[in-house]
Amino acid sequence: MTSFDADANDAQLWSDVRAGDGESFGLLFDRHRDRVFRYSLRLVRSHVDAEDVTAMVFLEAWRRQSRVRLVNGSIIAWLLATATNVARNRLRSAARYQRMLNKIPRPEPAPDHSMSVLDGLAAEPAHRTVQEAFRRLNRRDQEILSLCVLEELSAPDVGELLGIAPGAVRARLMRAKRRLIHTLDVESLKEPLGETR
Amino acid sequence: MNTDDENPPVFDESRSAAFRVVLVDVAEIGTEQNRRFRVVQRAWTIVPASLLILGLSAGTFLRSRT
Repeated sequence: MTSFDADANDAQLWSDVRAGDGESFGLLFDRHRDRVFRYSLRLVRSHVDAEDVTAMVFLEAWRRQSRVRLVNGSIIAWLLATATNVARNRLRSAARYQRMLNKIPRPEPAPDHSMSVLDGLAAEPAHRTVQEAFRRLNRRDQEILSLCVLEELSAPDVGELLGIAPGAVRARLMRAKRRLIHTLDVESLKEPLGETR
Repeated sequence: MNTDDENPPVFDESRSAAFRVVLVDVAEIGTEQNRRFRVVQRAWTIVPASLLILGLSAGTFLRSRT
């Protein structure tokens, strides 16, 4: 049951997790933590919120273990898709996992370098506008754009993850891009009104 | 060009280590945390299913009276 093999693939580790091996879950967390965190950081506004979302994604994986889908032997696509849902429902998810989240120490209020980098990027009008437009999209559009464009997963992989055909992934992606462009147009029309200086 | 690519933000190490301990504890069979989580997990399955059955039964009952 217990492999403790850091080189084991996700499928082996996940099988051990389902058999009740905690360390294998720890290894999966070590392997995918930062990617899920960076993905979550696009969906929420702060570093701490993105860490909480990442934590909740892994708790969701354990809670819904029978529903977890491995794509090409990897759990990462499922974790990223779940991050989209957790980020959108994070107040409800946080209430569910409050006791677990309380075990993670809250960071000291100190200047956060990564946030200053992000703030710097967000301060660029173009980046800020795209980020705002993205946040206004519905969950399905955010999910498909994040998986296909930002995470560069293939249409067959995303299709396998979401349980739809690759053609449907491409069609959904096209509609999501169209809505993003429309939202960007609306945002750019608002921009001059917002800038009073 | 993009500083985000050169120095990507990462999960804070101390928070990550603390959370990893929680995760291992939750997943490790036989621990107190695992037992509690399984109880809650079962409740998340049983309660909605019970509510659904109650709702369907009530609906069937009301329909049979009309």
